[in-house]
Amino acid sequence: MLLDGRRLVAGETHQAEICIVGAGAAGITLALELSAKGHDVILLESGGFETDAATESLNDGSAEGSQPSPGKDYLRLSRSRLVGGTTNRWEGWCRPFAPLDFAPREWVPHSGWPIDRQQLDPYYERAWQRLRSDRWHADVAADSRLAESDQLFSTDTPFRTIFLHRPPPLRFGTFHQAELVASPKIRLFLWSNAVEIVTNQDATAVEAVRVAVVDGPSFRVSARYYCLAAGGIETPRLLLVSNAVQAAGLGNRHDLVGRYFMDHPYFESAGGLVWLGHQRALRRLEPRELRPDYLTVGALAATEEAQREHRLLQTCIGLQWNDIPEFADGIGALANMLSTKKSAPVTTSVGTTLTCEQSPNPESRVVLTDTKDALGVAQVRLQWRLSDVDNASLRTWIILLAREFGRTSRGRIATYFDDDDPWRDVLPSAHHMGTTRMSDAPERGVVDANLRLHGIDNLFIASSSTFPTGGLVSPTPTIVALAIRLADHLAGKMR
Amino acid sequence: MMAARTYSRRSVLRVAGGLAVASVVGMGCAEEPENSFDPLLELVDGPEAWRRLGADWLADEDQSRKAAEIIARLRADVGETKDPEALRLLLARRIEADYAASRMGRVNDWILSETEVALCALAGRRRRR
Repeated sequence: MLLDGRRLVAGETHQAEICIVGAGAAGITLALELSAKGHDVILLESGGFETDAATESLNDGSAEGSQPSPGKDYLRLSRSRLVGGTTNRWEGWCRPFAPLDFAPREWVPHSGWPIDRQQLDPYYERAWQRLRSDRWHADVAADSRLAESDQLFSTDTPFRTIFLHRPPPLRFGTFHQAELVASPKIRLFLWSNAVEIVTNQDATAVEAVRVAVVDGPSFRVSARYYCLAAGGIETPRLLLVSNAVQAAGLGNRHDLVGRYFMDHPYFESAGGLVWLGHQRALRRLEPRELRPDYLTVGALAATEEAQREHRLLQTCIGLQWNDIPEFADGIGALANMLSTKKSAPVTTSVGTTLTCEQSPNPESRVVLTDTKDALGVAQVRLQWRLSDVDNASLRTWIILLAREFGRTSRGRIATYFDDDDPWRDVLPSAHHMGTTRMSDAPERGVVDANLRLHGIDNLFIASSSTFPTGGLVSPTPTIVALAIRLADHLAGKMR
Repeated sequence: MMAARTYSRRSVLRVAGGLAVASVVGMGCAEEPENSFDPLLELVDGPEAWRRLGADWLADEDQSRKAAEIIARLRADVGETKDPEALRLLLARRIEADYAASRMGRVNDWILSETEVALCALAGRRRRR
């Protein structure tokens, strides 16, 4: 059922079993899963089904970093305030986080999830169904099938080709619109902005969510359970501005809300590769349609063993066929002439992209500013900061890659990184993660393994903001898997 | 996005963990005596790109200082080998060994074995003459 927040009566309180803030991938998944189990859900969405300028302006804020700067419009351009949320911008790449992503890695400070990949696997299975992505294509099993003929390196090297898969990107709002409208168990409030979480006197339980509408009424939603599903920036923002009882913000006793912001640093033009071998081997990394509308693309990544041995963050390169680096012909000729291979290899030159995991860094964070939006809510400033851990991993990874291409006579690597400023040309990937991280103990995170805020009985978070580390791939499948897991957990509590 | 092909031109990757791209620095590129027949110079008398690579790299004072040291090591290994195919094979094996031992340097954005760096430097010096 749809309700237009602009037409509601000011001062009213609406009640449900569960109130979900944000109708993106996580919020819609959670609402559909819970309503299917018979639970009564209110789903609050800031926008409607179409983009609206006044609503999008609520995303305004500033973004900066000592190095790098994501650009002044990043907060607006990397998010969407309408039903479906940021899935309206999602490219659709599907791949689960790797098992090592969940493990504590002694070379990555603050790493380690309180759950492991095995615990999430059943929910990934359900996530693929929700994302209309076949398991065969979406899971790592696909790699072993594709890999037999598609590896650039033999198995005794630190690198393997991995494959990313893209079914037609699922726009959650459009795709689920009819279901949301028809559901008797879901009330979807459009144009309704959660502006404060109201708690009891000792902030151990949420009593209501205060909702405001641009140039419209204010009202409240009261529920048994509340779930914030507003993404990696709005979720900490809402907790920080909800400071009536806890001055530092709700759930922020240990000053962790908003910290550990992570994205996937991306270089569109990272360098180049001269490949000494059959071009068809390299062509297997190209985007290709294994079946109509279903894209698969290869990337070169370090093995788990290599990550451990060389203390690497997850990193991969892809190919740019139209971005051939300078001197590639000369390098190719030199390498070709001085190859130990019996027959002179064919050389192919391509450019490379590079994507990497960002290590969790408490100084990379979302903070409130004194500037208020149209609803009187403090805007945020994003301080995206990469660390020495990121620098060291990037340098080592590139050198290791160059070494392996050379050692195995498979090619040569060029890199455009400046030693003194390796992140100068980095781009963010608009994957906002880590700002309300999951942990076993409140001293180390904001939510527990069940995504409940430490110290607050009935407040949960379904968002990439709960990721303790960000892996290498799009967060959307993992967001959906965690939302399904949370739905099961909440349904169990309400039995 | 800009392809940052110029700013890193003279940079050398620094030590990173256990893997280091050797900072290819150190020896002046003083003209060394040229034999009437120098198999290495004959060998690098190839594509113009090699000379440009080497010349650009040698334009950096630090790199230029190191070049002679690398070239001297290469000449010592090559010894009296004059047969072109034997020389080619020797260099090919030396290149693979360089990579395996992480003896690498950066020339105009390319991460190359020390042997390849030396060859580029030789080619670059020919251009400067």
